[in-house]
Amino acid sequence: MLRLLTEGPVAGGKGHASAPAVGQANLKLDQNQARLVIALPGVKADSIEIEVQDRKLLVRGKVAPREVALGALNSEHRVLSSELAEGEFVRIFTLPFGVNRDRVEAHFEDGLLRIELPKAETEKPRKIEIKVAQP
Amino acid sequence: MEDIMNSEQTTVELPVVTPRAEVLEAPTHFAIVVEMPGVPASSLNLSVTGRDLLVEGRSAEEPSGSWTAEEREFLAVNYRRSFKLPEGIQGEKVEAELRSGVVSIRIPKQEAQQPRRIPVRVGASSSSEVH
Repeated sequence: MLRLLTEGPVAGGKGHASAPAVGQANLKLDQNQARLVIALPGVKADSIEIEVQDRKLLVRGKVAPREVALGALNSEHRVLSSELAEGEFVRIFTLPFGVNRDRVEAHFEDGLLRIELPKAETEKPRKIEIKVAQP
Repeated sequence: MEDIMNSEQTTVELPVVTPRAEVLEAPTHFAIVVEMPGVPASSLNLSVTGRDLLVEGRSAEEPSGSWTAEEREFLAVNYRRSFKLPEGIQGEKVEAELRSGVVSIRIPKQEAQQPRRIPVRVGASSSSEVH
């Protein structure tokens, strides 16, 4: 089993599913790339920052579900009860391979941040041409 | 004959979970904020029956690929939560909006429940009447 996501938040609830929480992630890999999907509900889209260096991937953003949902009307509302987290979100992922920084793509939709991470060319297997000695 | 094996009709049973929420009150309305990451607007359903508000949504299918390894911290789910609305609201005027995985629901209060401005009349010459 992969142990890539062990340093982050842990899914709540034993044995039964719970709602995806801010910062929880799913990672898929193949020979040439990785796809990371991070649950970021209520995170301001324009606050999201992604930094990539070799195998490290840092994601940060401002968690403000009330502001995202209610916008400027925010101030006239009185909170009666809340289960929602707010504040700053930061998480660092360590990938099993170096990433081609120039080709990383990210999309934020429906509260999910999807990051496509192509493997760095230098990490891909290279075919070595065999020179045959002429007789 | 109805084709009960029609694969387009079958949907994978997703685990049902309770989404996290926040309830707020403003002078003219109540607001409920519900976190439903992964739910597109087309899979979001709200219904009001009397004073019961039901919010349901289904995570979108993840596009498949030829992945060789996978690790998951969260699942595709069916969100479902019902809220008991307070008295004195206008159930037929409930509105909802979906933004960044967060649903905001606006529940207007009845006119009688809303604060009313009381006009204050200023006595034009109250002081001059005192002798």
